[in-house]
Amino acid sequence: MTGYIIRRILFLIPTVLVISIIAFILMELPPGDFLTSYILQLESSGAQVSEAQIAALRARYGLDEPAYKRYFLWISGIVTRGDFGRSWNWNRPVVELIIERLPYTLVVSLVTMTFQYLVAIPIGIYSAVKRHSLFDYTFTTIGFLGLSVPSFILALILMFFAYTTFGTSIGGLFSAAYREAPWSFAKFVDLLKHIWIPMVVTGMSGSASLIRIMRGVMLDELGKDYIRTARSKGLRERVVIVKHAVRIAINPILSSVTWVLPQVISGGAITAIVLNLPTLGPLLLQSLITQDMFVAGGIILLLSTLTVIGSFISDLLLAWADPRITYD
Amino acid sequence: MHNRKTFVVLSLVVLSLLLFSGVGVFAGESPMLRERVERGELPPLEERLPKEPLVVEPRETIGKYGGTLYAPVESMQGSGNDVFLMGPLVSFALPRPEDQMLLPNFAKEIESNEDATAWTITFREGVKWSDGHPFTVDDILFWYEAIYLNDELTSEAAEPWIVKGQVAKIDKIDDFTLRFTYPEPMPFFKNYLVTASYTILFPSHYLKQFHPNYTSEEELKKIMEAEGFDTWVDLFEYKSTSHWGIPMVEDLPTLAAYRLVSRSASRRVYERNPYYWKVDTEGNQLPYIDTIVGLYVSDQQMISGMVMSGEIDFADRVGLENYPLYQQYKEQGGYETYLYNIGRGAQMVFMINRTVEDDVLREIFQNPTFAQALSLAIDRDEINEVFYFGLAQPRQYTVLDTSQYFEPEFATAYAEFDPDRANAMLDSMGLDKRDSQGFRLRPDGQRLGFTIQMYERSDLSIAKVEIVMGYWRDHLGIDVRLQQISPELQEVRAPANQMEATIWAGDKSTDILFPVGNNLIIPKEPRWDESVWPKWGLWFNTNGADGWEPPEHVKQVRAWYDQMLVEPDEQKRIELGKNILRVQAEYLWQIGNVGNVPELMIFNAKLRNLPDPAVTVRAWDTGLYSATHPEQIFFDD
Amino acid sequence: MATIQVVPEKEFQSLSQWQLMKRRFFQHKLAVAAMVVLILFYATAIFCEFIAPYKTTTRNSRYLYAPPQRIRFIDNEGNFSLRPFVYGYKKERDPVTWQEVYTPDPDLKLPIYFFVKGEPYRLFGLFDCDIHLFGIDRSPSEQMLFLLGSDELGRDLFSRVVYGTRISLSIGLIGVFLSLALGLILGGISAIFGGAVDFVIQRIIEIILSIPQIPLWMALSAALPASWSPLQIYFAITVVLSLVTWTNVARIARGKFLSIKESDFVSAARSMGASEWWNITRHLIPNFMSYILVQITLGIPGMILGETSLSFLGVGLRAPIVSWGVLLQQAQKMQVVAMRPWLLLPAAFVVLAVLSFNFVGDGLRDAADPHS
Repeated sequence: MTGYIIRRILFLIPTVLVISIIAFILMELPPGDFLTSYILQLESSGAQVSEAQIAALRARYGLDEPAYKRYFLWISGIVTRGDFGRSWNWNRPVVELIIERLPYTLVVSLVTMTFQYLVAIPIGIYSAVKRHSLFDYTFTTIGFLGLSVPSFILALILMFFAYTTFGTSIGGLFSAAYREAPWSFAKFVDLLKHIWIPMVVTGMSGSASLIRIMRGVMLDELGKDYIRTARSKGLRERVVIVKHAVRIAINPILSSVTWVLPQVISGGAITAIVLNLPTLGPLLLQSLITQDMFVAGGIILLLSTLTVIGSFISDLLLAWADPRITYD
Repeated sequence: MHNRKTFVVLSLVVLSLLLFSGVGVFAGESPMLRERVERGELPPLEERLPKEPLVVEPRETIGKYGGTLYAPVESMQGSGNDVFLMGPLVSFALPRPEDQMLLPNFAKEIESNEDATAWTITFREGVKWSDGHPFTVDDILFWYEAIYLNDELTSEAAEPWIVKGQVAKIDKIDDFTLRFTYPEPMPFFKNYLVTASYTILFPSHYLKQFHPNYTSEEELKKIMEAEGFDTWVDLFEYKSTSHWGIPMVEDLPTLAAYRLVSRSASRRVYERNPYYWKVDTEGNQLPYIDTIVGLYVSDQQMISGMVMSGEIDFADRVGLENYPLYQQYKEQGGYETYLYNIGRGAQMVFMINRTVEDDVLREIFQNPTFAQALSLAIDRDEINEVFYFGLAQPRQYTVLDTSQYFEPEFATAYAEFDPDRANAMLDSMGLDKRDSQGFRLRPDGQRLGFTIQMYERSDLSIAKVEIVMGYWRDHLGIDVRLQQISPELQEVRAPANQMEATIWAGDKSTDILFPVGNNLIIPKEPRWDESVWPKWGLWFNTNGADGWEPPEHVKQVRAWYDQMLVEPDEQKRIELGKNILRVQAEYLWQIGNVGNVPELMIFNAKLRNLPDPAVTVRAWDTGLYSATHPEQIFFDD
Repeated sequence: MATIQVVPEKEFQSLSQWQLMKRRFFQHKLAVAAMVVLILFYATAIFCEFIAPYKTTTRNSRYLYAPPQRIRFIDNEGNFSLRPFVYGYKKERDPVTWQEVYTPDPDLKLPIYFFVKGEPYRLFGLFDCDIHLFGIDRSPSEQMLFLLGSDELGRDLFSRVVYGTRISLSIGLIGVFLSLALGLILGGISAIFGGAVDFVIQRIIEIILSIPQIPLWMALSAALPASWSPLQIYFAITVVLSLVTWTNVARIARGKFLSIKESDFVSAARSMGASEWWNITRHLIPNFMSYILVQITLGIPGMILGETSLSFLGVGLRAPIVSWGVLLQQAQKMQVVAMRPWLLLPAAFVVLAVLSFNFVGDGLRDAADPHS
C-alpha cells in the first residue's frame, strides 16, 4: 500500500509539470498581449501613450523574450518562491488574488459536490431497487432535465426568482448588509440564502450522471449471486441492500470524485460568472479576455492541480475502501 | 476676467465667514474626523484647510456628514463608477457647460500674457496632501525632473505639458506659483487643464523614497525585495499608480477628496481625505460622504441586478434602453433614475476607411458622394424611436448646438432620410449595375460591399449597427457585413489600416475637446479611434516620411487645425474651427446616427445635491461630474 | 435473449445483433419519441429557409419586444375557423416606465396560411424560391407573425431560432465525429500497441481530463484569432469542443478494444494466422458499431451545451451569426429576464434537443447492451 502511494505521488509530479506547460501555452495562445488592452484602457480615459512608451513597456515586461525563457521564469518563480507573477489588471501579485478567492471556490465546490452525492446516492439506490417504478422514471427524467438546461440560463432565472419572491439580493454570496460584517449566525444564514443557487445549478447537471451510475451499479450488484444468497438466508431486504449491495456499489461512486471534481469546478465557473460570485471562475474569464496572462495561467494551473490532487485522494480512498484492488 | 470676478466674490464670502464667526470659523467636519482630532491623531480642522479653501455653494442644501456610497467597478485597476463620481477633482480648472466658462478649481488663478505664450498658475496656499504634508509647486517640479526627464519611467504626461515633443519651459515663481512658457501662443491651455491636470501631480515627499535620484541603490534594493519587484521602475510605477489623481494603491497621498485605504479582489475602499481643500458655504469641510466603496462586478449585467436589489448607490451610464427595467424596480431598489446629457455630437459614428487597401473600394470611399449617400439612407427618426424612446436628436456628427463653432447646417448635413436621392447619387457615381440578388456591382464587376469591424460596448451595441447595415443593404443594395472583434484587435487593426469600416462614439464635440482633441475629423496620427484615414494620419505623424500623401482638402483641414491651436485671436480661431467642421459636413468623415442622447444614471433615492440634469454635461471633456462638485452629494435620511 | 447469444455463427451474430438492437430500441417508447423529435430538428436545420417565415434580419420597428402571439381557432365572438389565426397587436407605451405594452387587436385577424408566398430565398444555395411553410399575408398592414415574440429590433424570434438550429445542431454533429475519430484512433492505438505508447496516451488523457473543461474551452476559444471569418470560427469551435471530449471516447474505446482483443473469437482468428488488419476490420469494428452509435448520441448534447456556454461567455460564436447560443447570449440581460422573458425561449429548444439526444442515447445503450 505504501509503495502504491509513493508511486502515485511520484506520478503526480510529471503530470503537474505537463499541466503547467499546457497552462503556459494557453496563456500564450491569444493574439496580442496584455499591453494592448492596457494601453487601450489608458487611452480610453484620456491619456496618450506613444509608440516609444509602448516599446519600453514591452521590453520591461519581457515580452520580447522567447517563449521558453518566459515559461522558465514563470515556473521557477512559482516553484521556488511561490510567486505566480503580477496581475497588471489588478496591480497586485497573482497569489494574493487567488488566495482571496480560493476559499470561496472551495466552499462552493464542496457544497455543490456534497449536494450532488446527497441527492444522487439515495435516489440511485432507490431507483435501482424500485426499478421501472414511477419514482424511477420521474427521477430519470428530472436528472436528464438537469443535464439539459444550460446552467447560465438556469442561474439567471433562479436568481431573478429569488429576488422577486424572497427579496434576495441579486448576485454575490452575501447581501449588502453582511458583506463586510464579521462572521455571525445571521451572516451564515445570509450565505445560505445565496449559496443554494450555485449549488442547485451546478449540482443539477452532475447529479444526473451520478444517479445513473449509482443505479447501474446497484442493479449489477442486486443481480449477483451473493445477494441472492443473502436473501435466501432470510436476511431482511433492507439489510441486504444497505449492508451488502450498497457497500460494494459505493466504490465506483468514490472513484467518480476524479471526474466530478473537475466538472464541479468547471460548471461552477460559468455559474459564478452569472451570479458574480467571489470565486476563481469570473476572475479567470476576465483575465482571459483582457489577457492578464499570469492570472489566467495561475488559475488554470491551480484548478488543474487541484483536480489532480483530488483524484489522487479519491484513488487512495478507493484503494482503502475496496479490498479487491491490488496495488501492483 | 469673469472667472476672476467670481473668484473674488467667493474669496470674500470666505473672508467674511472668517471675520464674523469668530473662533469657530471652520464650522464643521465629519464626526469621523473629529474623533480622530480628539484622540490627537489629527490636527484640528483649521490647520488642515488651506488659507483659502474653495467654497462650494450646495445645489440644494447644506449636507450631513457620513455614510458609505457603493458603486460598481469592472476593472480593479482602471477607473470604475467609484472613480467616475470622484472625477478628476484635482483639475486645475473646471468647465461650466451652461455658459462655456472655465472656473478655477485646484488652481486659484490661471492667467496668460497678452499673446497666450506664457501661462501663470497660482495655487491655493496651504493645501495639504492627504497625509498632511504641504503641497507646493516643488511637487510639480518633481514630476518634471524625476519622472518626465527620466528615460526609464514612462509617464502619462501629454499635451499641453509637452507640445510638439518639447516640454514647456517651467519656472517656479514662488512656492505656489508656476509659469509655463511656450514658443508659440497656447490659447487652449485651459482646455487641456480640465482633463490633463492630474498627469503632473505627484506627492514628491512620498515618492522620493522609490526613486534613484533621491534614494541610494541599497535602500531601493531592500524596498524592491520586500515588495516583490524586480526593477525600481516597476516599484515606482506601482507606488504611484493613480487615475485622474485618484490613488489606485494604498498609501499614495492624494489631493483628491478620497484616498484609497484598502483593496481586495472584490472591493476597494476609499475614505475621505482629512485635508481636502473644499468647504461648503457654511465652512463645513467637504466631502460629506465618508466612504466610497467600489464593488467588483464581473459582468455588466450584474450591475442591473445590484441596482435592482439596492446594493449600490450609484451606477453610471446604465443604458437608456434599460429605462423601463429601472423604472419598474425603483421602489424595491430604493433608487431614482436620472437622465444626463453626455455631450456627444452623435451617439455612434460610422467610419468608412478612406485609405483602405482595396484600390476599387478606396476610390469609391474617397468620393464624398458615397458617404453622403450612406448617410441619406439612414432613417434617423426610426433609430431614435427604436433605441432612444424618441429623446435623441436626429443630426449629423458635429459639435454640440451650444458650441461657439456650431452652425445649423453642420448638424443637418445629409441627415434627412432620402433613400431615393441616395440611390440616384450612387447611380451617378457609376455604381448603377446590380447582380441577380439586387446588390450593386463595383466597376470591376465584384459585388459592392464592405465589412464593419467593431467590438461591442453597452452604448455601441450590435443591434445599433445591424439596423444601419439593414438600411444600406435594403435601401441601397450594398452588401455590408459585420465582424465582432476584441478591443485588443481594434487597437491593433485601426492604425494598421486593416479595417474597411468601423464604428465609434461620436464624442469630442464640446468646446473643451473639439479644438484640442478631435481626431475624428482632424487627421492627427494612426490611432485606434482614428480609423477613417490611417495612412493619412501616418503621413502627418511622420511629416510625410511614411503613409500616403493626403489630398489637398485634407491637408487644408490639418493646416487650419495647426493654425487654430496657436491663433491668439478668438474670432479667427472660431472661423478656423468652422472651416474644419464645414469639411466634415461635406465629406462626412464621420457618419453620425443621432445626437444629444441622454444617458441614464442611477442614484440612491436618499442622495441629495446631485448634479443638476438640466445643465450637467457628463463627458470626458468636462471632467465627468467634477464641474458639479460632487463632493457636496450626501445621504439624507 | 440468452438463446440468441449462443448461436455459434459469428457473422450471423453481428447481423442479428443489429436486428435485436432495433427491436429493443423500438420497445423504448420515450427513445422513439425523442428520435422523432430529433428527425424533426434536423429536417428544420436542413430546410430552415423554408420553415422560417422570415429571414434572420427581417425586422419591423413598429413591433419591438412584442410578446409571442397566441395561435387561435376561435375568435373573440366565439366563431370557430378551421384556419388558425392570430390577432395583430395594438401598441401603447406605459407613461411611467416607457415600456411598450401590446394588446391583441380583435379587429386585426391575421389568418395563417400554409405554403404561403413570402420573402425570396435560395434553398441550398441553388434554387430560388419564395414559398414558406406557413406565414401571414403581409400586404394589407405592416403586421408580422411572431409565434415566439420579437426582439429589440422587431425581428421574429421563431425564424431566428429556426436558423439557429442549423448552426447549433451541426456543430454538435461535426464535433462529435471529430472527437469520435480522435478517440477511436488514439484509444485503438493505445489498446493494440500497448506498452509505452499506451502509457503515454493514457497519461495525456489523464492530464486533459484533469483540466476543468469549461476553463479549458474558455482559454482555447479566447485564443482563436479574432481575424478569422465567422465560418472559420465555427469550425474552430467544433475542433475546440472535440479536443476535450475525445478523451472519454478514447478511454472507453481502449477498454472495449482490450476486451475484444482478449476475447475468444479474436484469439481464434489470430491462431488461424489472420493478419492484424483482418482482425481489426472483420471483428473489432463490427463489434463496435453499436457502441459508437451510443457514443455519438450521448456526445452531441455536451457539444450543444458547450456551444451555448461559449457563446454566452463571449468567446464562442458571435452575432451576426445566429445560433442558439448567440440568441441566448443576447437574451442574457436582466431586462430580458424581468420584462421580456420570451427571449429566453431558445433555451427551451436547447433543452428539448439535449433531452432528446439523451433519451435516444439511453435507448440505444439499453438496446445495445443485452445485460441491461
